[in-house]
Amino acid sequence: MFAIFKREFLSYFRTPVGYVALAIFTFISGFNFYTLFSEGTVSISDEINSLRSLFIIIVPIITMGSFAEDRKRGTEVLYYTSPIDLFSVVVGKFFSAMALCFVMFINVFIHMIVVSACGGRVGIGAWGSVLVFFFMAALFISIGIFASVISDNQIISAIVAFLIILLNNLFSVIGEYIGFSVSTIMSYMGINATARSNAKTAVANAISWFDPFEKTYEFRNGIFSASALIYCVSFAIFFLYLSFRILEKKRWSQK
Amino acid sequence: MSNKMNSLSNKHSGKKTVNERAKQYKLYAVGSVVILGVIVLLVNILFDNLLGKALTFDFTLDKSSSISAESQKFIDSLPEGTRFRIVGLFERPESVVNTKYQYIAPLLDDYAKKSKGKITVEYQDLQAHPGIISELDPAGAYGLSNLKGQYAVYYNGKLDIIDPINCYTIDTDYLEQYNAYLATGNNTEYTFTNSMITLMKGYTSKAYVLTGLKEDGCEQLKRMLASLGVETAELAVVSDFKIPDDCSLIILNGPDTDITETAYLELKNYIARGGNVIVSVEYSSENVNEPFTNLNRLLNDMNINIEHCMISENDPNYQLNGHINNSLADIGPVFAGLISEKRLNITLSRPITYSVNQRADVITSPVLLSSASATKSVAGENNEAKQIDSNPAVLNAAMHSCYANGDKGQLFVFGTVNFTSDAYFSEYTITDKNADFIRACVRNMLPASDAYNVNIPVKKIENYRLNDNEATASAATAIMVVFMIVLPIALSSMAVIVYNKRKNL
Amino acid sequence: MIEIKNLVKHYGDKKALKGISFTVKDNEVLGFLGPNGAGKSTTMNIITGYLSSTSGTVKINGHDILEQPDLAKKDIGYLPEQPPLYLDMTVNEYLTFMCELKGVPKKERKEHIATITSLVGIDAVTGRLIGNLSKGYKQRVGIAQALVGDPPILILDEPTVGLDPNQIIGIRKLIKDLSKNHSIIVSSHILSEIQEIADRVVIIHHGKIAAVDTVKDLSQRLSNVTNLLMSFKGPAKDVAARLKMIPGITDVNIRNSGSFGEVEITTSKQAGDEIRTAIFFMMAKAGWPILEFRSLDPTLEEIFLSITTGKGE
Repeated sequence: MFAIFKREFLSYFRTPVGYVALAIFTFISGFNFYTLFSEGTVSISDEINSLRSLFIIIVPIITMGSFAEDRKRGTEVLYYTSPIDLFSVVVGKFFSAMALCFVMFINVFIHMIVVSACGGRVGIGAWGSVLVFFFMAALFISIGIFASVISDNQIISAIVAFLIILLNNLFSVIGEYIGFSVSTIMSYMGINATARSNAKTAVANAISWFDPFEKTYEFRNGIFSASALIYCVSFAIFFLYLSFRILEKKRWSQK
Repeated sequence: MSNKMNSLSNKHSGKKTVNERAKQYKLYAVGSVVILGVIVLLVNILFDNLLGKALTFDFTLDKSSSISAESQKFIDSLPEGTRFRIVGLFERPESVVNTKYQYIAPLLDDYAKKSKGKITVEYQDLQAHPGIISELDPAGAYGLSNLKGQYAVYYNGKLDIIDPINCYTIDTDYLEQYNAYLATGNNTEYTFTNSMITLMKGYTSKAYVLTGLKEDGCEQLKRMLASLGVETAELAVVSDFKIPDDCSLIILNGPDTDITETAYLELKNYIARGGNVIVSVEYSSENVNEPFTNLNRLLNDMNINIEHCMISENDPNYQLNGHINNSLADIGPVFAGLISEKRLNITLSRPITYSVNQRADVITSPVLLSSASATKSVAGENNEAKQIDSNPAVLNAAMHSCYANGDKGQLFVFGTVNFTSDAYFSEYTITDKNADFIRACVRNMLPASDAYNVNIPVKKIENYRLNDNEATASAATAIMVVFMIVLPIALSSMAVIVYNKRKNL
Repeated sequence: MIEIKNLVKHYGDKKALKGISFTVKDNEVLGFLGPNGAGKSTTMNIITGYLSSTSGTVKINGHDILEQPDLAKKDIGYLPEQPPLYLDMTVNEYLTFMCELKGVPKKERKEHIATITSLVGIDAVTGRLIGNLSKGYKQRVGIAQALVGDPPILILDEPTVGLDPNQIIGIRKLIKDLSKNHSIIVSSHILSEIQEIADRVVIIHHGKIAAVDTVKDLSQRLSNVTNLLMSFKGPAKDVAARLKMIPGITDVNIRNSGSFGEVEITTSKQAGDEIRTAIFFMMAKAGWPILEFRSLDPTLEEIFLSITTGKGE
């Protein structure tokens, strides 16, 4: 697993990709930080939370090639014929993407140091946001890897990852809409208002239960809930395992 | 016929064995994914619904989203079946971050969570649910329909309206300068718990704050008194000034003008009857010319005199940030036991001395003492302190008088407003050591208030402001240059260098 | 030692392998021969664990590839048809990665890589980017990759395809050198290549084994039949008819029946060289001048045909 991790991680820096991604992240986070700093009030957690919206772009770019590229080059045969578990290959690739995220995130750590040096506050909410950032990165990267596994085409992988992450961003909104339409349909069926509003809330809640943004919302205030982190981790593991199983399928598939 | 069937089934099973392995793999793969999916869902449901609350940790500053042991003790002491309803008279916002409810809504949820049903929290928009008005206030005594964004605490037919803004201590300077609120401390728990205590127990005594003397604001002090079961009202010093019978404490909070003759007589009478008085004055630019003649006449009768100058603390150990007029003072020996602190904060304090004629039936003792190297000074030119007495000595910043025979009636005189004024408490919060001390003094004067004494620490507000000296415009420019120009360009050139170098390997 | 039993692989309805069994002994080079699409690569992919068989077993030094994959794979070095190379890495980086992947201890890596690179003759290019290397070098890097971790078994799928003759000679020599202490399976669709390097040959056709033999036996078997190609001036039909009458000629195929005729003559080897003399005199007598007369190398298809029919006899 470490061999895969090391190769994948270094490969970001053997090509311009890693540097360019870093430069873009540095610029955007720098812009964010500069804007807050010039106002004289810097809440690191606000900065981190706005950077989270970059996931939707960054994660597909990082992960789209992780397996599709191997298939194209014919290097995936190494994973199947070397004395290592395929799952550890998936995990190695996952951690290399995480490590790239971490390297990007060093920017924010530097911002934290600057804030502390300038008499600002890096409170528990900031650390909560850091934690959430990485747990959500884990969730989204595992989704990105899954997308890379299911398609041979990098562009399709990137689009699938983009769409799933977009969906994650919109769970609450979608929940609201579906809840609303459910209640509308029920009103045509002549169901009374209380039941309608209950159904609407239930549907909206059920869908927005999946929303990782909402789940981890309170971290920025310093309220840490294990269940939100477990949500991210467990689904990340699920997607990684699913990716592993799909890769493994190639072995025994009769198609 | 049967032979044919046999051979058919044989053929079939033969094919089956050939594909057995792939089928097994498929079954295993699909099965394991399904099982993992189910486990993931179960674990999430387990942690979300069953353990979610137990595994939620409040790491906020001063645990601003959790109720403290004090409130918990109060809640636990409530008899079974007690029901407090806390009703937010508005729709709960999706997000409370950066709103005035940021520190309130999560805390109220915690009340509900930890009270085992004794306290319920709900949000009812008055427009959407007008029925709530008649439900909470059938008599229409509280004018709920005019409210917007407040909370109502309901107990047994009684109602207390809490304005979110009162759950914070406010930077008064900032308010004056920018006409905007800047919260400095979070009183939410203090406010709500005390509101419930008061709703249940009612007030035990009443204090009057004298107004009309260009005095300081005392919202924070009122809140402190309320938490001691003391209701506070204002009493204007007008020509027919009269102290009501229900008064158990009079407060003069940093007046910039002297009291009137009428007030002097009435107060003298009041003290003679065994009334309690807290006087606080200071030596500030608004009252440098005010000798407080009438006030001193009143106090002299109780062996105390306010001097018309200011204490300059020359001992660096007592100075705060090197200021001679903002320093610490020792608590006098008689009062040392009141709180655990040894020194309290005084600012622009007038020296309080024994009056010339001493009554033998009144015991007078120093409450706050400066170091032995303090001197007296007055405001000179450009507001510079000008020393008027070069002999260093211990000066009193506050004194106390009471009757030798143990009769009711006590008098506290502070040369500083740091024990009563909003200006101080909005900066240091009402759970500061000075606040602790004044609470102790009030409990001393009004024994009934001892029963309350639920003192919940004020919680700090997250403050992300940078230090203005460091966060200058040039620093901002430097940040822009480094993070938005230098680093990205450096990284991009790295990309070019690495690409070119490796391309030709 | 590789033991393969009853390997079957289905792709949907298509049966790529229909029950293949053979063994490879220690330090033996096994030539794996078959036309494109015969199932060579599929068999090799199954042996290396890349694919799983629909049924049948593969045992590598006693370890079943499906049941103890890690132990089995440890003993195999595999060069697939398309070498699994990362074009954005240098040779050294790539081989280091392979060492890590195959669990070569850190201390030994440098020395191990040095040994391998000098063995396959790529020590001059270790610092270069794989993407910038010539096809021959890439193929060598691919072999080097298979050698990482000193596996006792090497499986090389068409190692010489697409190389120029010099490179082919180099690779063949390399395989010969390696065969001293490795069991090797080499696949190819070129008979002569296999004849040169292999001890034993497995011929696979349409997913079945057509023959397993030592190279010597195989050549003997092949030498039972010789095909001759003759171009001449004369009527092809008549020529064919006359030729058939010569004893020892089993079949005559007309390839071209124009004014310049061309026939392919199948002879049985027992007839020996005399048959050519007989043909010459027959043609001379009839007054049909021979323009070209040469023996044909058997094509793979013919070999299969001959082997399968030979078996039938």
